[in-house]
Amino acid sequence: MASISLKKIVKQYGQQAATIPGLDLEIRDGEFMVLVGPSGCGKSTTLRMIAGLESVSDGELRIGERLVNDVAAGERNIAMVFQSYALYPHMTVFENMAFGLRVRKTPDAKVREQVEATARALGLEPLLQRKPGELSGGQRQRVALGRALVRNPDVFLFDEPLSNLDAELRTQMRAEIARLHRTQGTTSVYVTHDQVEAMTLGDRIAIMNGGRLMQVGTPAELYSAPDNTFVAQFMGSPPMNIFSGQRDGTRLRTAFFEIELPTATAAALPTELQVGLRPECLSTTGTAATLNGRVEMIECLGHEGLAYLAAGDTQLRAKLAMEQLPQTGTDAVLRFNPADLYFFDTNGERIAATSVEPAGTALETAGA
Amino acid sequence: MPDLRKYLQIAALWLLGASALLAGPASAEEIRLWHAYRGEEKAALENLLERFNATVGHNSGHTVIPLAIPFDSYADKLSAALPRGRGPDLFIFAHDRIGGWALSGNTIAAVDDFASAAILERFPQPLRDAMSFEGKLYGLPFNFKSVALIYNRDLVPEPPATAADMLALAKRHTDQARGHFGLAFEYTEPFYHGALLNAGGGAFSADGELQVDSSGAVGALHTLREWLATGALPSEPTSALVSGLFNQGRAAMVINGPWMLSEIDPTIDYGVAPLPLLDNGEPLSPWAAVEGLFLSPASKHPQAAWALVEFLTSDEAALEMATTGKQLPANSAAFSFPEVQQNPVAMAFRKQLDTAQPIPNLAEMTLLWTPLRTALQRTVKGTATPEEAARELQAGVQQDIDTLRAQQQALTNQQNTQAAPLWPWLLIPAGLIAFLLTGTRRRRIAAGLQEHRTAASFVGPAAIGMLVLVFFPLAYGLLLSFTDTTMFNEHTPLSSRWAGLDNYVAILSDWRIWNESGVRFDNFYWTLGITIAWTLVNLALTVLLGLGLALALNKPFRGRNLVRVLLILPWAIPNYITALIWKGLFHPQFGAINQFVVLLGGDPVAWFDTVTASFFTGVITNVWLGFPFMMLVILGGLQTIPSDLYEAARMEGASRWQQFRRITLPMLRPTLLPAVVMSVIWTFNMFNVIYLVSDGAPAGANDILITKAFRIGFEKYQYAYASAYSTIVLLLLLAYAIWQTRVTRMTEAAK
Repeated sequence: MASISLKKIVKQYGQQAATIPGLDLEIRDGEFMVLVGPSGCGKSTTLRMIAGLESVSDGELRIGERLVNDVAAGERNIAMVFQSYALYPHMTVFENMAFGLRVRKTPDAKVREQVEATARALGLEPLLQRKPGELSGGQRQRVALGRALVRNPDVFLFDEPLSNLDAELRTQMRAEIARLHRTQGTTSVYVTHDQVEAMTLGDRIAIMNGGRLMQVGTPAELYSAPDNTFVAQFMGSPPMNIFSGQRDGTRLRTAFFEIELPTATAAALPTELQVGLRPECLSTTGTAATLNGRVEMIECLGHEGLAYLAAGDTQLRAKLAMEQLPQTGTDAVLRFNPADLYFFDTNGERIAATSVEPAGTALETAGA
Repeated sequence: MPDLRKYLQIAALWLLGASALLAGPASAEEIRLWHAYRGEEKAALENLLERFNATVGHNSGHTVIPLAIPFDSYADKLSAALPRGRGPDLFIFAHDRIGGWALSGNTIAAVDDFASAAILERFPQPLRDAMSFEGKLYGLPFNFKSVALIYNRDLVPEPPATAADMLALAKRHTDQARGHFGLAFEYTEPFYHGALLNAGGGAFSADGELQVDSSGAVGALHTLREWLATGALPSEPTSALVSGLFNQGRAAMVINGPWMLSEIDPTIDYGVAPLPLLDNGEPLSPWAAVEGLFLSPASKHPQAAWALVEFLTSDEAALEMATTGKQLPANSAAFSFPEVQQNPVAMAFRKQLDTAQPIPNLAEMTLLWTPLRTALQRTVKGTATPEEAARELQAGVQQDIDTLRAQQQALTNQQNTQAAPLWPWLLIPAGLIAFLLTGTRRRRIAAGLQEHRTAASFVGPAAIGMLVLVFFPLAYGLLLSFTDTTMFNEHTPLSSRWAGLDNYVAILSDWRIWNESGVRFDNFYWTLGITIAWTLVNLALTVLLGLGLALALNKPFRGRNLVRVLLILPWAIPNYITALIWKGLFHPQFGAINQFVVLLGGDPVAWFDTVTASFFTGVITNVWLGFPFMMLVILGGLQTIPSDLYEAARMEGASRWQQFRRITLPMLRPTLLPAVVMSVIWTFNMFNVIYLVSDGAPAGANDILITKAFRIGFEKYQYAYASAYSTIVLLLLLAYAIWQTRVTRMTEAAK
């Protein structure tokens, strides 16, 4: 068990611009840290640097107290679960799980004991003599987990381990990984591009984009207090609606609505800004502010649905209960609580001081 | 049943067409002449035939239709066609096959009744003798060829008169360090050894008994060794080496035939003289090969054909052959024409004829060539004394001759020696077709063809090709292996040749691997052992080298593509060319390898003299040829191993060696196994390398089964024995393939 510390980590290939220009991240002992971001954001590279599969160009990488920049992968006492599972196809499940122990010259009896214990914990016992080719995707995933577990490593690394599974298995394995982490408590770093996985698994989530860290925090923090439009749109499904707004005195004007802001809030806002509103914060009932837009399309998701509204060139999505869904082609009036609005500057950075909570009641009347 | 009828029709048409081909039409007015002439000699012959057609032929209403046949297949074509009465009316061929043909009957006609004394007067006695066998004349001599002394006039102004002079002269012109030699000839080739052998009494006694261990024959071997002891002759001479040395002015004298003249560099001023006299005053008497004009016993126009023979041996024709054709005509009158008399080269060869002896035309002679070559090589290399070599030669060839004679005895005892017709063979495919067209099988096949008509039409041509080119020869070879067929009884009915399992018993029950003079290299088990060793050593080396190079090439580095192309090159060059290049490299005196060895201060290695060194030459060549394939296969295999397996192993702390041992090697197995199976089969049967590089040297010790089978079939003409040999090779490989697939399946099942 160990913490992981990345200080000004740089990854550069040849003479090209750095893939990761300088990353600072502290992963606490026993924490489940999820690295999430779009493809090419550097999350896998970061993971592979922690693993020792990629060299660190600059900066300091510590596992526990030990500086591991130049420590070989095999010396870091880390286990990794690969996206492709990377099981040795010519070895049985038992041999796959025993491989790491055997290269370390563990006595046979101990190998057997440890492999069997891990297999029991994962329900792999009946599969021990099979080869990976005879296993289903879920079973292979479980073997890959078992192989990582059996060595009792300080850190677990997961590189998109669930992306090759179908939706149902993915949910199941996700729960399994969560359970494992709860029982083992091993420091884990988990790379994914799926925000649902990130939200459900992570103690904390580090969102990356273009090699830079956008925000680190608990799932709840990231959802409720995104630092920028990237994080705001990355977390939540469907993503937060962001559209431009103009402040004229204390009035905030957007393509969909116009409301009166509390003076304190208005004072903190520039005249040109971006306004964020989560689709799930819209409703047809309630006494909050209203917005108008033409219904271009609706999508039914079962117990709820999405309505695509347009006002001029601007679009937004609203997640509504089924019975609230408007007709396509009509003009709809939806209600929202101005307290749910997020304000960002034109660069996408959150304007920090804009808590709209105190002014909530005052605005209701203005909107109505 | 419309489809069935269609198939039957096709089968019937096929049979009809085949029989029409075999019957062969003949026009009443044509005389068919077969020959293997090319270039000038062909032009001269055609001039003569034109003249004949315009004169004699015109008057008698006959036209000669010549057919030039490629030399390589000429003998086989004659042997196949003549006994079945389908050949030409007359043909031109070397005289040394007369004995075999005369004994087997139905191949050449005796012409004593045609040949008048006046006609025979045209030819010198040795040439007349050449055309006679057991007191009968079988044709007229047309042209002759023998070796003589060809010398570089810049170095040797006057040709030597005696062998002692020749050697003294040769020694003076020898400078081994510069690669200069006084005398060069292919002394390990039996044909060239004839000059010494005949001076010692010849290979056969006057009554046709083998006498290669006579004191004269042993003396000939001693003389050859004395000549070589002077150091004036290059080692391991080939015809290319002899003419090469002469053309570069590095050989003062060579012993060679008129066929070399056209290859002599125009800057070399050469002369030709008869071979010198031996120390005892006897002349060296080389073998003469005589081209004869032969009549087919099946000719429908023997009179007209004979008229052509007389015409072609006339004085006028002889002059044409000598001038236009640059030949040495058998008709002595040719050499009294001024045009020919002014040609010193022609006159020298003519003079040599006075002391030359025609190659014995006994059937037994064909059995002597290869064993005599082995005996010469052993004597020259010193692996046997002349006495030993001669004794073994006599014993070995006598045994073959006894076998042959027993066969001929059996033949003459049979009433029916009529040539077996070919058509019964058609019963096999016909029977097969009939079998396939009976009962439910027919319906199933018809339904199958109907259902997969497109597939059948695509597969059809290839299937027919396979049937004709693979399965039929295979079945024929198998059949042959149960007979005692040789070159001499090939045309007799199969039933008379039936020998059951005799060949197999003879091959497999011969456990006498050693005798008093050492290993018997022609023993099957010795050859099998060599073949297995050959296969294993090659396989191990190609796999190791291929693996090493593939591992090196698998990692990117600068110039990797170039290196890869360079490494594949040996594979892209036809393997016989590579084999010949390696043979040249291994030449003890002129090869680059020995020159390198000397440069490093070592002694030159006689690569083809010992079993191990000679084995090594083959292995080097074959590994050179074989490693690119292994490298490519392994490289392909390496690229199919996912890189994350190595990453996973690195994470678990596996060292490079552990990664190689535990991941790379087992993951290569599936790609490597089929390559190994194929490589084993190829190497086991790698005819080209063995035949062209070491040629089984020394004395057949390094022959593998397939080259041995070739030698038995095409150097000893024991077709059936060779077939049995090949069948055993096939069975061995089949057993190996079955074992290999079973092992593979078992390991696969174990997975």
